[in-house]
Amino acid sequence: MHLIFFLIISFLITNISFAEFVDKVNQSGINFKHINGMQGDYYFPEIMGSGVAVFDFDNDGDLDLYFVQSGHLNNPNDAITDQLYRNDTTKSDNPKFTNVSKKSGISSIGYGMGASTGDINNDGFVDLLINNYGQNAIYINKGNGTFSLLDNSLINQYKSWSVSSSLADYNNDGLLDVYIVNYVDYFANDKVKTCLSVDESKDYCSPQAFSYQHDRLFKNLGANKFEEITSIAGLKSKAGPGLGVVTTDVNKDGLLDYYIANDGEPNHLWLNQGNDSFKENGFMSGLSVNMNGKPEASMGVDVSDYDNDGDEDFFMTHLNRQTNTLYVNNGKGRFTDLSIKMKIGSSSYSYTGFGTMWLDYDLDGYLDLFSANGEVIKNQKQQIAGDAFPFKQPNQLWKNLGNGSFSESSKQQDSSFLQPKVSRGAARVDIDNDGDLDIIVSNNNGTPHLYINKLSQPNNWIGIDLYNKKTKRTETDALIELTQEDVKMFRRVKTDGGYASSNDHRVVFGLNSNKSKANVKVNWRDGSSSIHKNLDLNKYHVIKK
Amino acid sequence: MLSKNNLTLLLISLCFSSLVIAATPDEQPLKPAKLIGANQAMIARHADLFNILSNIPENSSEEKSAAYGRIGMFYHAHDLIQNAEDFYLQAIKNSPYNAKWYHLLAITYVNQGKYEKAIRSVKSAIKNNDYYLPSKIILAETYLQISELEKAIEYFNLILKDNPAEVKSHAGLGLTYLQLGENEKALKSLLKALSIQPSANQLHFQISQAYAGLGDEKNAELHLSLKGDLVPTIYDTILQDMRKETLSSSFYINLALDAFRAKDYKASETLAARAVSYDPKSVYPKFMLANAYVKLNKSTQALKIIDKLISNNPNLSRAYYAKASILEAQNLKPKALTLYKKAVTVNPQDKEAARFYSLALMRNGYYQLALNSLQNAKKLNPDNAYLIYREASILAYQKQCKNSLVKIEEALNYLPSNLVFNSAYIRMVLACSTDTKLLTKIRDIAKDIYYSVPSQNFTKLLAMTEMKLGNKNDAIDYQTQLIFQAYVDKASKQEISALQKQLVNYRNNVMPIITFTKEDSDLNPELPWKF
Repeated sequence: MHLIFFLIISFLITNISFAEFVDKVNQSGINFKHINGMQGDYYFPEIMGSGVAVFDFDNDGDLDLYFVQSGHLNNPNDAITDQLYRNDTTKSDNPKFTNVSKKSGISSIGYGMGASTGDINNDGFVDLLINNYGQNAIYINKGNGTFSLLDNSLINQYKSWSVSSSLADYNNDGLLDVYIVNYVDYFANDKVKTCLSVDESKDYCSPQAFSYQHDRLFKNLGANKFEEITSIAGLKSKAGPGLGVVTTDVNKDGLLDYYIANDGEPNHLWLNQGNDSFKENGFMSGLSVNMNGKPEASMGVDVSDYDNDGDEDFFMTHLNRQTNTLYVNNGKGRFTDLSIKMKIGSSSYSYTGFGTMWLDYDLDGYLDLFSANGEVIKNQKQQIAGDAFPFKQPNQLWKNLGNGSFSESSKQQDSSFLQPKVSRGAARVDIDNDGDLDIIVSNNNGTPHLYINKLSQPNNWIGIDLYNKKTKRTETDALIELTQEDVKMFRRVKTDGGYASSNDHRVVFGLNSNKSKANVKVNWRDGSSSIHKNLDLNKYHVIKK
Repeated sequence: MLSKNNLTLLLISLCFSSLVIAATPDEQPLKPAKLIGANQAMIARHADLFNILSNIPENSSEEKSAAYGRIGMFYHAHDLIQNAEDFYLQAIKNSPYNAKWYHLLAITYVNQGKYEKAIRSVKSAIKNNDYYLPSKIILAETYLQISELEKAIEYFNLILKDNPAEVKSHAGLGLTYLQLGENEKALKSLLKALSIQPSANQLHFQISQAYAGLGDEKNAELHLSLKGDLVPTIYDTILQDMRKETLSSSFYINLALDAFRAKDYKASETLAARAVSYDPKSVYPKFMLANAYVKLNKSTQALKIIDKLISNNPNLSRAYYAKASILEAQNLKPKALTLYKKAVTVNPQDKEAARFYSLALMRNGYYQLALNSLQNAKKLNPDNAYLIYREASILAYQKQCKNSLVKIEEALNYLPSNLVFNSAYIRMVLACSTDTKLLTKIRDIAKDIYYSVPSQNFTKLLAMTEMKLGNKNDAIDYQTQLIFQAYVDKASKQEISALQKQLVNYRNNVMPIITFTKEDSDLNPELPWKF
């Protein structure tokens, strides 16, 4: 009887393809360790962790990693700084990184939270925006492996607590503007506020204990100059404890909109009205609260067309006992929380999710989901076991079944995937340029995860890297439509989304086992489009405008 | 590919299932303090409560179960879900048919996202108590959470069949239909829910979604504008509900009352104090605490609480007669009487105040006033036979034979089997009447009671009655029995001597004189606080 089972299993195994993520951070040369500076005072920023940015800083064709460091809240100049790792990977199963932080010239002091990437000055080199608890900072990439701090920028002139930001061209002028999501007012006297958990022991506060800061929008004027248009844009009308941001064109009017994940309050959808103004339309669109009409503690957010029906859908991560939420687009810019129907809710109920992303990890043409998990309230069992940082949870992965619904596939991964840490920021990245997407995760007060994707039997794929010769940079937020026989998919070029992190700017289309060549139509930001036919599979194509 | 993946996993599971050894945890009795290592601080803060709650009775499984369950509820309210689960399991082990613990266990499973276990547990709750609606709601809602939408619809509909106004089920049904994209059905259910609970703002949001799904933008916008602040919602988390129930004054009041009845006044004091802390504005827990103080001879503290109550609530009649009873026990009778009267004055409709005033008057010998007061008390307590009995007693003491007989018969109409009333009736007839028919009647009453509830009192009354009826030998027989029983009961020499003297009187045809003394109409002072 067992022999029959064994034969059946063997047959099946040799004829199916599945992905397996293996954590290879220990062999990679990455020795970054996030420090939150906790000393038992339960300062609120300590529990938020930080993000990670993925970008090609040296334009050598592979993606490098930037880890945001936090440090000690009471000593922001403690010389513990962010770290930049150059990607020197040559073999697909052997990631290799070199710490080039010192050479880079980045000495980002201050209590770091998140990072965004984009070519702010259109010089062909990707720059960095660091979100801090305190003053934010822009580092301009000089193109020679070094960065310089952009002094006297409006962006670093005020103090706030910002975790995420988005560099996107909201007014279609070819320049990347800056949207900064701000969290809560937590300064000076707030540090002494004591919050208790339900079991009456001291714990981290929730955002509702503080007043909220409104977000800020800076229009890029070129030549490294910005103009703050927060008031004109209408953002001051609604403040919320924002943690995540993603840009997309919800109403398909050609203008980019901003969607903000608010922690414990209704989320905001700022619809671009043109003329530098925005209108908050979260409730009307169905994106503000979950199906029960309750606002959730939203941390991470991502948007993409997960069901390949031509419109983009949102996924958000939340606190435990809230489930993550899937907002499905009805095609007209209206969304419905279908977390239950699509079976993505209940499996996340016990977890607190932060970083998240849509990614087709098995390249079957359907976008799957990842959530970087880690508690914000103490775990009882870990406490009893004497864990000094009892907030650990394993991360999660869900496979898109192709019919709109999901199945959790976390336990099918390598055991290293399930090692619990206090995960926060996460980014999708093809480390080894082999087409299958890997994941980098930043862990609070710990070392990162570098999940390398090992497909057992690789499916076909096409990678697109859009380059605008005029702006000399990636054409962020352009739309790419792919057709292959009767298959049609579209994806938006974006690096924002998730939590406090920045993603691989390239778009990978999974094509399953289909071997036909594919055609691609690019809808550029200026309204023009270009068609590219018969693209070879299993490689990246740089398409230039 | 997915189906192959799942099939693979299934086959692998089957293949190795025979190798899996199921471990059965060794069940040991649980001790609260042992469990929560990391929460010793919390236990220290609640040491007084844990000492009481940890007192697991050894005798009765039901009581043991209740004790474990209460600890579980306390942990549950403090979000120590795993511990709550353990104690609920112990509660169930000791009382496997108690639906409450299955219900609460199901909630702990929902809190942990263990939905399949939650479903099993809540089904057990329903099996043991098919009437408990919250269990059925949890079952339906859990099916919704695990995306078993058809089952969710089935169970919501089952609830609504017997409970057509159950708002959560209408709303739940609406949500399920929204998930399925059946917007018309969703709208019908949601509008029904809203009609039942118009304050549930989040329903407007959901109705808006249903209208939007139907393409009715106008109504979608309208309902969105009505959503308000979206709080409160009818979907407070289950943990919040648990906290409301467990960290509440009423939870501790019930425990305090149990402890009081078990004569554990120290525990009652602790629990009542906790009840007060959870609801400082409520008067009931304060009375409970004062009650416990009195039993612990802490009258000063009891008076302090009651004086504060009076100061904050000058019309709180209960506070006045509560204070009066404490002062009466301290022999401050004039002051006590004044306060009893005050209670009636501030609230003439308080039937307890009327009752206690009249009884206090009686105890202190103000019989005419007591009679007048009893009329008032009877109006407020129309079915209280004891008040009628008190009236009869006073009349008998005042030698108003005819009136006392009328009253005692009236009391007996309410409680024909009451031994106190029957005893008084027999004595009143013996004292007041020579009517053979009446005497025969009371003899028969006495005999019935004598045979069914053997008591010295009724044997004595029987002897007297037979004597009055001229049945001397029967009287002697009953009196002899009394003497014999007195020897068996090791009664005092004086008691036996009195009985023997009465025997001699019967032999000499001497009838005892029946009189009503002040003691007959007395009532031992009691704490007049009913809970």
